[in-house]
Amino acid sequence: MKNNTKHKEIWSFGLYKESLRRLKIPAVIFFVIIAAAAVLIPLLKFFSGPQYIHLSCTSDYLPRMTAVNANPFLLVCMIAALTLTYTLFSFQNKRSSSDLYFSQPHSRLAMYTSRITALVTVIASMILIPTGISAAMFAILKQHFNTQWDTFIPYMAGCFAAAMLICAVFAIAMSITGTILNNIVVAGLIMYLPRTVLTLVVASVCSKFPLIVDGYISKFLSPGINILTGFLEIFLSTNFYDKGILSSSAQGYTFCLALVYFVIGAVLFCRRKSESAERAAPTPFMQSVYRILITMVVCLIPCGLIFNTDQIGSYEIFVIFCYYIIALLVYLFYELITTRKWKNLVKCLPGLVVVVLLNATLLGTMFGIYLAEKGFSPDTEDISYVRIEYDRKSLIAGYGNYIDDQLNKLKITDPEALDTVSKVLDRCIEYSETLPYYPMMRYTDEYGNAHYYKECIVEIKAGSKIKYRTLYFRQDELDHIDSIIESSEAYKDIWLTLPEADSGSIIFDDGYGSLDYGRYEELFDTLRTEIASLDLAVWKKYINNPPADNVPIKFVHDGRIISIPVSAWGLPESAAMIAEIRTENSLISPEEMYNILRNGEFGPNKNINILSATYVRANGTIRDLSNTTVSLHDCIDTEAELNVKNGYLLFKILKLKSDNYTEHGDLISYVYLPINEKGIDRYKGDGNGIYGIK
Amino acid sequence: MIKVENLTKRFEKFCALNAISCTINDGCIYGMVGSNGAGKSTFLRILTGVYRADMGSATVDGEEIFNNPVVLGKIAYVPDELYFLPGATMNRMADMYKSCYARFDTERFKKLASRLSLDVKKPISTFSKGMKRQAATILALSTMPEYIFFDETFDGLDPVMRNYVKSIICEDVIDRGATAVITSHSLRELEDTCDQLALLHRGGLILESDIQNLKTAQFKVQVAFSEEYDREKFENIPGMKILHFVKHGSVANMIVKGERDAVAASMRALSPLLFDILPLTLEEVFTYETAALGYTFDFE
Repeated sequence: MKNNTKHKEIWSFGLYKESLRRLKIPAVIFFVIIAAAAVLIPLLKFFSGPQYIHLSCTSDYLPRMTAVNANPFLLVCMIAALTLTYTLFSFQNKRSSSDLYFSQPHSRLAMYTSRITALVTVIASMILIPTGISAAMFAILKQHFNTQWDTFIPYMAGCFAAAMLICAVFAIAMSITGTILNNIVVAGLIMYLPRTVLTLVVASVCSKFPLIVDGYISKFLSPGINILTGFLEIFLSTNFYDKGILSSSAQGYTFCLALVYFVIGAVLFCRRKSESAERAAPTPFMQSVYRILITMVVCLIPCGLIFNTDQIGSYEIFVIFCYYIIALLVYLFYELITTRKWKNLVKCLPGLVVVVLLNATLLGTMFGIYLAEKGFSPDTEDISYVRIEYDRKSLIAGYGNYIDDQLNKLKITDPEALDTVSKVLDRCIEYSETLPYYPMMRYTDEYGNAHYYKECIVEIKAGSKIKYRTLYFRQDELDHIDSIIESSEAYKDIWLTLPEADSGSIIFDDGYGSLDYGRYEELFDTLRTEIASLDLAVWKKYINNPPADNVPIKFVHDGRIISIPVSAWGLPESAAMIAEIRTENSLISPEEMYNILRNGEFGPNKNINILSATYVRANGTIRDLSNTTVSLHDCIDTEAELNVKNGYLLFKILKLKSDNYTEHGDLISYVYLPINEKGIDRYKGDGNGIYGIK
Repeated sequence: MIKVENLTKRFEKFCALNAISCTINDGCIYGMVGSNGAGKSTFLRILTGVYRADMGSATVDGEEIFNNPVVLGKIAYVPDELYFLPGATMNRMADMYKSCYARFDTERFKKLASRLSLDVKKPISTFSKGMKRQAATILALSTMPEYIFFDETFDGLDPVMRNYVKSIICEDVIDRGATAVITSHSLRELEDTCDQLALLHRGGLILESDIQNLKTAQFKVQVAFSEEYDREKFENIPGMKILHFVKHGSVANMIVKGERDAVAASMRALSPLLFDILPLTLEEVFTYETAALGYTFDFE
């Protein structure tokens, strides 16, 4: 029998085109919604926000605009993914349409791939084009927003990955079910059940054995690694977007999962029987599988209760019994609503044995993991290294935190330290069984004084295993370990090696002007070299108690802003260079300032709120004009003009914003800015006033 | 040529087709009759690649049908239950067919739609049941198929339109050498159209024959003798098989299978008082044939 032509067709342009045609109407509707939002949101934000003078400034003071803020409606593409997938694959739910499509002269694989590629095309367009519009809008309004351009591609990637996963899940669900209800139920099971079981197991084991650090077990066990399951975190966390949809690991995982599901979907679609249309499940076996899985969702609760309850009394038994009754009702009710046959209620009863076995397996797995984790108690000689993370409470924000981080990352191999950790681990395991008040959290010293143990997260490598444990140290135990660390070269390196600055992140005096950024890099190099040459004790003393007349040099390292106070008393070379740069940094010319104020967007009777402004007096001291309201009136009249010519800019201060007793409009005083000497140093704001006149 | 061997299809415990074998030659109109649930639609769904057989094989020109785009490209199928895209006009459906069938003939589509006075720009959902069936038939025939499968196609068509559609099908068979397979639960629908007829009952093909042969090989014999006689008198006549025998008084009515002239000669040799040979309708032929096989049917 000839059959050589059978499997050659893997994609069809005709079907692809037809699929696009089928998607036209829903796709246009969703596209219009997202694109309209892309246009309207920037405009609304522009018109509803304060009017800004933006002449030349560092963007730090403008409203921060991430891609998510720019168009949250892009998330609608996920609903679109569901709708569009349903549009293309719902023919399988109806016998007549199933017959028509499956009798078409195309291989099943080509039918599937052509539809999926059409979905990908439409969804990608739905994400790319509106994001392009959004980007264009914010590019036009760039003077008014600090647009975080680096978030646009991750946001698109996140939305695309999530939308693809939805497409893949629904493609699978619709290939193995034949009614809308079951499409949705099975899609929900595929999407959430594995992750829910995983989360339950992890949470239960971590709860029963509190030494486990759940966030450190594996990144893949976190619900946030899957963008769709991570959406549940929206209810628990306000910064999900930064963690989830913008996280490259979540995007990668979600996209890979979508690819795997697409492949599974292709196999199932090719094996799909047309006769499964209008039936809850293609076979009675699959119907049993769905019914049992739905029931298991309910059973997760009593399983968690059984595992976590140490002493099960009559109340606990009653609660657990109630949950199992609910599970039984769900089991029977699902069968009834999907098959609509009363006689099936009896037929499906043997499946309850599988439910019982699955419950037993789940509980067995949880207890197995619990015992295995609890059994990790290596001897000192078996430990390769430990790493101890705890809040060292450094006094200096930014830099101190950086030092703490580095110390937390330090792998300790000293035998004495390892021995201390091993003993603490044994003690904590022993105490972990005493509930509800863990004695490991508090102890009494020889004088009868109560102390709290210090909670630390410890990474322990023993053999090929790396485990993370929350251990409780006495202060003297920690001090002993710290003394060992402090005597090491690594400790000195951490303190005296200033980390690299992220590109373009070095600033001082709250910003940099028109100077070449290279000068700031030179300053930073000088600072690093100077610190590296210092004595550790001197440097620690200086950094813990810096002189008051310091100028902070700020830079970003690995997402963290680090500030180093520079003063001639401790870092003379760097301080000298700062003075040099300050002098070089030619500030605004009197004429330019005058023209800005007179010809800019502000009329003669308008006021400007100065949220933060300083000017340098002739003697070099800095005058702070923060939180003042100034009238521009005097800047543009003859007198002011004269003043400009005479080397002064006259501002009339109407109100000190911080002064609640002063009525708006009352004259408080005049301020003459001596612009011919050092110039007006800098203006900045936070969204309610002047932004960066320079 | 369509060849079916031991074709079996089960739906869980229900056996829809049970080891069916038949051959449908090119250029013929093959009718398949059977009561509801006999397996006609299942048979067609397997022949059109919608279902996959559990056992046995169904081939077109020697190639397997299921999931075979080349074979499916030669096939057009008008199912019992029609489906059109939501809100679609005939033009929109034609676009869909064009995307799928390389040989879709737009000119033919327009010509047939015009002949049947169907508005190609009007939503099909506004069509009557008969018009929808016409629309589906036009779309199927416009794919220029070599094999056309119609499931209860004449259901819902008025007599005039029924004959019209039949004539279009016949044109395709005669002009292009296409092969048509038509199923119906009504024998009368197929009687004047098909070259071959098959009877499907409870998933089994219990009768398959050339219509002309069926009609000529069986006939009714009316005979009377002066003496007393019974069925045994005729049992030993060579080449004659009595399918049915009823005697009222001296007159016997027999449904006989055999060579007409030879039977007539043998009967006359018995010197009957009365002897006549009457033709049977196809319905009667089927009734007696199947009764001889132990089945009872009520052909509509």
